Formats: sequence, C-alpha cells, structure tokens
Amino acid sequence: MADEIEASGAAEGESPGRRLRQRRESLGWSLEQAAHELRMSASVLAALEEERWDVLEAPIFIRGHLRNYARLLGLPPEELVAAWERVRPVETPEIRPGRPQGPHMAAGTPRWVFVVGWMVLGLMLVMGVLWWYAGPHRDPVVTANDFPDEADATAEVSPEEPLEPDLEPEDDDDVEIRAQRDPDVEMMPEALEAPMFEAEAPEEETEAAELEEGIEPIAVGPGEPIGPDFMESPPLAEPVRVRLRFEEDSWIELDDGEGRQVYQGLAASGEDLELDIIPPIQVFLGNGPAVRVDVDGESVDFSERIRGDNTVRFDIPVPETGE
Amino acid sequence: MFNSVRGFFSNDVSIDLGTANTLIYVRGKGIILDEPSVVAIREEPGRGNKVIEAVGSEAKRMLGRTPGNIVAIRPLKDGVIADFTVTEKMLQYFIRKAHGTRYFRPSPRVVVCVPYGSTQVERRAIRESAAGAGARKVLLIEEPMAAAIGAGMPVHEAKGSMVLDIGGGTSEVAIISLNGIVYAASVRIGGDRFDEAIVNYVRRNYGTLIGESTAERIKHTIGSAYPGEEILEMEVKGRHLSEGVPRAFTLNSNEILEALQEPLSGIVGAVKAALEQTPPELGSDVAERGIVLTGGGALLRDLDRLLMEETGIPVVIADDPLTCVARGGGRVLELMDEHGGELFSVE
Repeated sequence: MADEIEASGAAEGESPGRRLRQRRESLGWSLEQAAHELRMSASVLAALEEERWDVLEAPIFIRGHLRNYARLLGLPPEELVAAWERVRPVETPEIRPGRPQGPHMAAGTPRWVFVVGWMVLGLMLVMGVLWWYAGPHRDPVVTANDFPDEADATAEVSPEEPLEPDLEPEDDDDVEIRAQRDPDVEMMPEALEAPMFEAEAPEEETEAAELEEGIEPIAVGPGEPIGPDFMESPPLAEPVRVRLRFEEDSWIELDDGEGRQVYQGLAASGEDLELDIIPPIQVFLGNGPAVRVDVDGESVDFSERIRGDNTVRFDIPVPETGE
Repeated sequence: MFNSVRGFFSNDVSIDLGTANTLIYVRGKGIILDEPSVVAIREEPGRGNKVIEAVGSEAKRMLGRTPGNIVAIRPLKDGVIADFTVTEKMLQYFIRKAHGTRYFRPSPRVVVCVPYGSTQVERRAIRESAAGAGARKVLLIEEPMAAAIGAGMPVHEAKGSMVLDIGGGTSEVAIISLNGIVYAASVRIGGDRFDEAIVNYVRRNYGTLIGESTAERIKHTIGSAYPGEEILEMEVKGRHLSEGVPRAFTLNSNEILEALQEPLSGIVGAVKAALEQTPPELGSDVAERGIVLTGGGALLRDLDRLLMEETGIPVVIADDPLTCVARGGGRVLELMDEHGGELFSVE
C-alpha cells in the first residue's frame, strides 16, 4: 500500500496538486476511494488536486489535509506542504471582527499616540525634576561664605579660628564616633561660645560621615574659603538651638529664617543632631514619627501635622521671649 | 500611575498556564519561554521557612528524586491552581525570566488562558496570582478560543470550526463561529491521565512500580492511540513490587495503546458529545473542514487517526500544537489593540 514513503525525485519541482493526483492514479485509486479513507468529501479532495485552495479557505486546513492526503498516498507530507507554501496564493487571513462595526468596535487609539504621549510626559517630568533641583526658587546651597554672622557682636573670634579647632580635634579624636555623628553633644561647650558655627560644624561632620555612606548631603566643603562678607552680613534674630533625635532613618531639610537651606540629608537611625539656626525655621522630615525635635530644650509637638506618608512639614517660629 | 510607566517599558505577554507546561508569548518576540510547571521548594532546617530552590525544567528534573527537605511540586492540577502561593512565585519567576534582566520589575499586560468551564473561584485564583506576579492588567481568555486563534482557524467566519485542545490536565473541545464559542466542553483528562494510566498498567501487568517521569518518557517514545503496522519497543526500569529491587523489562506500543484506552475513550466521548450538541449547520461545516487538534496531546502518535475513525470526520493537527494556546493569547492582545476590547469575550 502507501506506507513506504516514496522518494519522488522526478516530481520535486512539481505542484503539489498534480503530484497527489499522479500518485493516486499510479496506485489505481479512485477519488472516492481516497476520500473515503480520509473521511473527506470527494469534492474537497478534488479541489486539493486541482489546487483550488480557496475551497478550504484557511491555511491550517489546507496544510492539514495536504499532510493527511500525502501520508495516505505515501508521499512525504512536509515536502508537499513546502511545495504548497511556494505556490500559495493568499496570505494568512487576518482574524477580522465578524460583526458589523458598531461604535464600540471602533479601532483603538493608534499606538503612536501613546508613544508620543509618553515621550511628552517623560520630557515634562525630566524638566520638572530639573526645575525642582536647579530652579531659581532654590537658594544656592549654604556655604560658610554666606552664613550670617550675628555672633560677631558677642564673640570676637576670627572666622577661621573656631572652625578649625572644631574640626581638627574631631578628626584626631575618634573616627568611629565621627561616623556615628554623636560627638555633636560633646562639642556643646565650644559651640555655645560661638553659636554661629554650630550649624556649620555638624554639617562638616555629617558630610564626612555621609560621604562614607555614599550619600551626598548639600553642605560646605571644609576647604572652602570664608570670605570677608562673612563679617558684613547684618545680624538677624538670635539663633535657637534645635536638637533632632532619630529613632529611624529619616530625610531632613532645615531652612532658616532667611530661607536658606541649613541642612539637607539623610540622617541615620540613632543619630543626634544639634544645630543653631536662626528662626523662623522651616522643617521638613521624611519620617516624622521617628524624629523628636527639641527647640531650646523644649520638645516640639508636630504629630498632628504628620501626613499619610509619614512626611511632615512645619515651622518653628521666632521665640516670643526674644531669647 | 507608576505602574503604567513601568508598563510602558514592559511588553504585553500571553501566558498558557498549563498543568504540564507554562508557555509565555511576548508580543513582538514570539514564544520565549516554554518550561514545565514545576517548582522545587527547600525547607530550611530549624527555621522552617521555605525557599524556592528551582523552577521550570530544572525543578522537573528533581521530580521524584528529592531529599527530605526539598519538595518538587506541580502547583497546577487539572488545569487550575492547586497551590496559590507557589503558582504566584512560579509566574513571577517566569515573567521576570521572559523579560530578561531589566533595571526594574516588569509590569506587563497579561493574557492568561483558563480552561473552559473553570469556576469563578478558579478564575479568580489565576487572576490574582498573575496580578501578584507583577501583571499590570490581567485578562482571562478561554483556552479553546485561544487554541483556535493560535492554530490559525478562521474563527471570525460564520462557519463552524471545531478545535480539540488536549493539555496536561484537561482536554477542551469547542465549536467556534463568529468569534464566539457555540458549544464547548472540558474534560479533566489530559497528558497527566495518560501517564497515570501507564503507571497503573505497568503495576498491574508487570508488578513493577515506575515513576511519572518514566511514564511520560514511555508515552513520548512508544505511545500511540491507534494500532499501527509497526510495533515499537522500549526498555524500562522500575521497582519490582514483590521483590523490592529495580528490574528492567520491555514494553511495546500495543501495550501502551491498551493502557491508554480508558483516557482516550474519555476524550473521544467528549468529542462525540460535542458533535451531538452542535447545531446541524455548523456540524456540516465541521464535517467538511475537519477537527483541528492542538495541545501536547496532539503529538500522541495516531491520535488523529483514532478520532477520524471514531467520528468519521477528518482530523487535522495544527502546526506546532504545543504553542497554539500561548500564540492565540498573544494574537488576542494584538487584535484587542487593533479593534478595541470587544472582539472576544475576554474577562
């Protein structure tokens, strides 16, 4: 019968339909016989032999029946399918909506609209971020140069002097303590003498410590010169002593009475920050519930202002007593 | 909002979450993942917490070969989720693997194929595990529909098309016309039941126990659904039940044919029932064009012949039957973007 696959070398280039008919006739089968074997109607089989592919419509049926017929006749099925692929007249029919095009069947928004939309949105986002970080509303980062010198009335120290002693003992003392940023507390007596540098000194330290952690706080570099205008800035309200204790990591931003940013950075859990800042002070905490704030030894209650995401923004006003 | 930004960087995917294999089709890339739905879990001694040891083909190699602290499990049974958490983890792994290494977690739109007639609870489990695995939006489509579209059947025509999808856990038969299912039925017979039948047959007739992996290998090598002229043989090793020691013996294809009779007759019965329920106009279309076979079960030797003899209707095997469902799901995603969401009944 037709089980041994025939290597039909002569028919290699021939069209699949003709090959099928020749093979069937050489086996001496009638169309009806073959159709019965395949449980197909003779008309469909005849259409295959005559290469009227449109009778079977979809390529899957043409391929499938070609394979079945070829197998029955002992022809190599894949060869016939490949031959059909070469002569196939139509492309794979698309699956089209079968129902009439109602309003809900309208074609979806073209994809390029989304692409362009996203690009515009992305651009706006990038510009927004740039504006936020470098826009005109941001004062330049606080530096020693423009730090107001209201202390020159009380303390007649030269600008360099307190800064260097403040730092150098720290450097020599204990690096580990510096990393934890605890020694602020120990610096207190010195700091009291020259309150204006108090805000400066912790920054120096936090910067040093934070550089170790790979975080960039916005603060002055130790090597920056302290310019002459340092002495000339007009005195403002007395600075208040702000103490921040962190039970967990928290982002912190402190702006002083002149709107200058005194401190910005990520404080680690367990850290204790003490700063002398000119009020009114604008405080922003990234993790409000985990921070305790004392102003001149009195704790500030801001729990009502904590937002859902734990951030909190509040002001510390000028003390009325004038201290 | 953030999800949709992430979604912009993620390609839409279609998942054939099958009992035996999970396939992922990524839009514009084709089938990029085809792995067994197996997860190996290691329990850390003392602490009692569980860690995913392996997923996919690596885990499948462990099936039945694990020490006490590792279990290799198949989180899907009969086409639906049997272990929710593990399925979620597995999907997460597959979706990430399909997206390759990226700097952020992918958040694609996902089409998941569900067995026809699966319950609301089962659908919800699939939907939630896909969402838990990071999908931005989960769409469910019925497997026979996806299989028909993936096979390239002209489902939009006002003509009946019949598809039989034999998966690992279920077999689905459906008559489709005008983009909708006219009749469909799902029977919980699939490749797994074939394996089980082979295990039982060997135990009964040889008094020897073989594992499911061995049974699957036997099915692939010498399994057939219709008596053929050539008889294939294969040597198999198993544990003799009374002697308790491993023993080798030889099986031939006729024995496997006998072993598979019961599950096969279940599938044939489902096809016949579907034909009985089909409206006569559609029935005549099916008789002219034939039944299309998809799914891993279509690869069982001479299954088309068996169905042809039993039903008297020509049977056609789809190209690449294993991936039809996943490809169909992907095609549905494309069509939904082209024509709006109303084309198919997608949940």
